Amino acid sequence: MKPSRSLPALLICLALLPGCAPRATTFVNQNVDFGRIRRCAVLPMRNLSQDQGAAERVQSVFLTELLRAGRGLQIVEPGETNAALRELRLNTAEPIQPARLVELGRRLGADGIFGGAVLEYGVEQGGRDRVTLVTAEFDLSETETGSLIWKTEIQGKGTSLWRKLFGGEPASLYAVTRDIARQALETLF
Amino acid sequence: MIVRRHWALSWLLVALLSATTNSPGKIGPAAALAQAEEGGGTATLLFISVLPGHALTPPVAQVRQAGERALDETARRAGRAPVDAALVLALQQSHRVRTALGLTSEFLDALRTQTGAASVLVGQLFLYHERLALAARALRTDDGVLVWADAAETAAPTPDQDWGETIARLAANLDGWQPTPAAALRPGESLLVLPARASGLEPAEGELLTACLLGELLACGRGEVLDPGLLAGQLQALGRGTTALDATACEAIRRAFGPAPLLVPEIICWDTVERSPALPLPEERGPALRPPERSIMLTLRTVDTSALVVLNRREVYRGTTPSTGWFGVQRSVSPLARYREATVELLAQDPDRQGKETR
Repeated sequence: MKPSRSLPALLICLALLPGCAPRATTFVNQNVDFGRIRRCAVLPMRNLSQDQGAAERVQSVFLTELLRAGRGLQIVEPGETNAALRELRLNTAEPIQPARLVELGRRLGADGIFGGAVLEYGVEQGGRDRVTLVTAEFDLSETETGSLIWKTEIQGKGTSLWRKLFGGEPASLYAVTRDIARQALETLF
Repeated sequence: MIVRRHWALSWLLVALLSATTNSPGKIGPAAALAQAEEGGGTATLLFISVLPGHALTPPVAQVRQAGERALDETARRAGRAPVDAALVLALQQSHRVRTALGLTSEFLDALRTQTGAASVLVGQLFLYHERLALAARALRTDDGVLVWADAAETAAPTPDQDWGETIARLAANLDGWQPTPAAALRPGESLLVLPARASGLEPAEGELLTACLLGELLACGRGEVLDPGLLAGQLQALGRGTTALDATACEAIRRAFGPAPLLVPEIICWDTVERSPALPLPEERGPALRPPERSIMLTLRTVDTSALVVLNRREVYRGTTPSTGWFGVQRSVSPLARYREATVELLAQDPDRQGKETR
């Protein structure tokens, strides 16, 4: 069978078109019935990056994507979540102990609690190239025992082979953040 | 003889009472209410916001006078006579109304009963990035429902230009305020909107976004929009800010304004801020350092105040665009134009569909 002439062109296009797709490492507890989780709270994200506003931005985008992806999932108003955190004197700068998560879940009437951290966020200068980079981890704990049932660490870069070869501005931090939030949630829903 | 004395005493009392209630500059409550019911006058309020790094060239009093004149003229064009400004100012001071989004139900009641104002025209002058903007909105004093909102902007006048003339031109550029017929507002379908929170930006930018959002919500005709100031006032009475939207705050809003969905707008700056930024060199300080355009994200979430859950959330991102386009053409997009365009997109968005980025 004679190979099609358009095949090499197609292969080149395939090599050039995709950007740097976010890479995720995921843990999902297969013994949990995720259908039982109907109402969730989203905690403020921890910020381990150099950018002061990174956690708020990533959490904001994650919340939007969660509402879009998680059909039927109820998300507790963040103002109420923050009030509960203050009331229970919980510090979100560090991971919360399972027993306290159970307490928080009871206070909010939530079946699950999303959390996470921004590990890297900003623009990297690699030689002539400027690359936007966001690395974050997202997790979900159920509130009956406070155990972790889903966790993913994901990194996204705002560059592509096309940009490397022909130049151009890297993708914005917003676009990279949105992509990683979507990719992360795809490992859950 | 005794009967005559009684009559004389009664007339004296009536004369005394009428003298106290009909003092100059103040009309009696009965007359005020009658005037309000007939569609009476309009109270005008002006607030001035100057963003850091900018300064008004003429004295503030002069700008205020020009702004108030322009607002009065806008009210007259709408067929509403401005009520006594001194009385409005006295009420503003006694009710501590310091911001354009700080109108409370009590203040509106006082305006209606003591000045006869059926509506309030609130104007906000913004000076930023060498631009001057005027945002104005009109609301009914009896229920705080917005009837009109619009904003216009122009290049800030140079020191040798006439500010009064520029402000008058700005006011003339606003879409004419026509009293909205009651039928056009869909009663029963009311929307509660909180003032926009600005994160990483000046609070005035949040106010500008709120102005754009209110204008667009009214233009969409999505129902009766309650003035955000009333909600903020309700939360303030509880000793809370507009960001602390917990069960108590939601309960207070629900009790005061009903179970309508609550819209919570936010504007978040996406410019990267290092934790320990290098100190700028002396020659780098000043307004020149301030970028004329910033990467921003506008979000709007709808909250069910009964169940305390987020019903949906919309977001729009606006990145910075190069200031020089093709063939060296200089581009300048004003914040007002960006907010307005982004707000239109935000409201047109279907929250269930994927968000989109516009650079």
